[in-house]
Amino acid sequence: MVDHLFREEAGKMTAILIRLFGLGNAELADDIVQETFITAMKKWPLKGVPENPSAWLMKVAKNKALNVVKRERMIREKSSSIPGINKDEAAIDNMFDQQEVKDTQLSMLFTCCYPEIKEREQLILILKILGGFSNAEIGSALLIEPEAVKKAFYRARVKIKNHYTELPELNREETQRRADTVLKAIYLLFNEGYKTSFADDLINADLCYTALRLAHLMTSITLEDSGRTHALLALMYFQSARFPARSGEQAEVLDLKDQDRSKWNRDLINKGFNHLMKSRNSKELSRYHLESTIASAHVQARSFAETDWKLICSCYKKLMMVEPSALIELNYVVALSYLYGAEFGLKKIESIEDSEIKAKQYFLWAAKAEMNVRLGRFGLAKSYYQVACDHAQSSFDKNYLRRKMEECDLNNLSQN
Amino acid sequence: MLLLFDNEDAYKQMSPEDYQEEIEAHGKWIEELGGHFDTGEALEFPSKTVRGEEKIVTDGPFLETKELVGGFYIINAESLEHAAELAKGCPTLRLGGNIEIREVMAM
Repeated sequence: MVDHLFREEAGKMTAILIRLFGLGNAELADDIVQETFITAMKKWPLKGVPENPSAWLMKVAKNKALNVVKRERMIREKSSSIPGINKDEAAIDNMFDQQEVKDTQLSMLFTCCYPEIKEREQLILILKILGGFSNAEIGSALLIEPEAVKKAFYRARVKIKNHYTELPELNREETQRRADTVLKAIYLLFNEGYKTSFADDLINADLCYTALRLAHLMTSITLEDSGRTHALLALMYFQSARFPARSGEQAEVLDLKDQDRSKWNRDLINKGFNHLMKSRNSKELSRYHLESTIASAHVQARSFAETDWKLICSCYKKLMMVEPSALIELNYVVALSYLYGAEFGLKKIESIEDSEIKAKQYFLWAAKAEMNVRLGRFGLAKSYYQVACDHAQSSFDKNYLRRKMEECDLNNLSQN
Repeated sequence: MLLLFDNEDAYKQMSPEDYQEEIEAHGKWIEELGGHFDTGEALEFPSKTVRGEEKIVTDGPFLETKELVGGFYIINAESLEHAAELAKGCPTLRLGGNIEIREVMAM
C-alpha cells in the first residue's frame, strides 16, 4: 500500500459524506469512515489488498451511506436533518464518482475557508473534513487539547451552516479572492507541520503532506492567477526537500548551515523548480513567489557559503512591500548580515521594534545572539540566547536554545 | 482454529494511519505463518442468537460479553501448545484482543 493512503482516503470519504449528510451530521460521516476502515482491516489481510484499494474503500463507504439514507428515509422522511435524504441511489452513486470526488473536495476546501471563520478554525476544519485527521491528532499537531479541537470544530460548523448550501457557486472574481484565503490556509497548514516535523513526529509531517495534496487539488481549477498556486507548491516542495537533513543524530535541530546538503531530496527539489517555472505566468509577485524564490536560492547553493544572499536580500526587500511584518523584516536583516557582515546586521536589527514581533520575540534575541557568535563574542551571545530562551514557549525551542548556550560556553573556553 | 475476540473499543480510537499499519501488520503475520496458515474469515457485526427449544431469536451474542468474535483463522499446528505459540504473533493482541484456540476434530 502507498504511504498515507488511508489518511488521503479518509479525507476524500469525509468530504463526500459531509456533503451528503450535512456539516451538522459530521459524526455520522466519521462513523462511516471508521466502519469502512475496520472492514478493510479485517478483510484485506485474509483476502489480500484489493487491486484498487481506493475504489474498494469508496464502494464500501458508499454502501454504508446508502444504508443510512434508506434507514433515515424510513424513520423520518420529512424531519430529517440530512440534506441528501431526497437524493436517489443514482445521484448518491454519482457523488462517489472520481471527478465528482475532486469537485467535492474543492468545494469543501472553499467552504472551510469562509471569510467569517478564523484562520485557526479553518485549519481545524480542513484537517477534519479534508485531511482525515482525528481530534487527538489535530490537537497534538496544533498543540491544543482534543476537547478544544472539538469545540472549535463545532463553533466553525455553526458559522458555516448559514452559508453552506450546495457547492459554492462563485463568479470569476470571487473565486480568485476566495482562492487567496484557501492558499493562505494551505500555507499555514504547511507551516504548522514544518515547524515541528522532525524524524519521529509523523503527524506533523502528515500536515505538510496534506498541504501539498490540497495545493495540487487547487491547480485543477481555473484561476485568474494560477501562478500563485504553483509558487506555493514550489515553496512547499523546497522546504519538504530539506526535511531529512533538519535533525542530527540525537534528533536535535540543525541550523541550515550545519545541514548535510547531500541528504536533501533531489526529487522534491526538481518538483519545486518545475512549479517555480509555472509560477512565472503571474502578472504580479505574491508572497509565495518571493518566498519560493528565497527557498530556491537555498536549495541551489552547494554549501552555506555559496548561498546567493544578494538574491535572497532582494526578495526580502520586495516581500517587505507585499507583506510587511516585523518577522519578515527580521529575516531580511539576518539575510543582510550574511551579505554585509554581522556587525551591519546588529546595527540594522536595532530598528526592529520587538513589541511588534510579539509571540516570536525569541527569534529576535536568537538572531542577535547568532550574530554575536559570528563576531566571536560568545559571552554576550550566551546572554542573548538566555533572553531568547525566556521568551520561547515550547520545550522544543527551549532545548534548541539551551544547546546553543552550551556551544557558547564551549567556544568561550577554547577562546581563553 | 484461532477465534479472534477483538477489542472493539480500541478500534474506535484508531486514526486512519493506525488502520493502515494494522493491515500491514496482519499481512506480515500471515506471511510469517507461511505454510502454517490455512484460511480465515472476517465476521460482520451485529449478530443474532437463537436460544433453546423455544427458538427465541435475540439480537447480540449468546453470552453477555463486550468481546465478540470478529473473525477466525484456521492454521496448521503440531499441537495446541504449538498453535498457542503461533497465535502469540497475531497483531490483534496488541490492541487488547484475545484469541481462543480450539482444535478442529480430526474425524
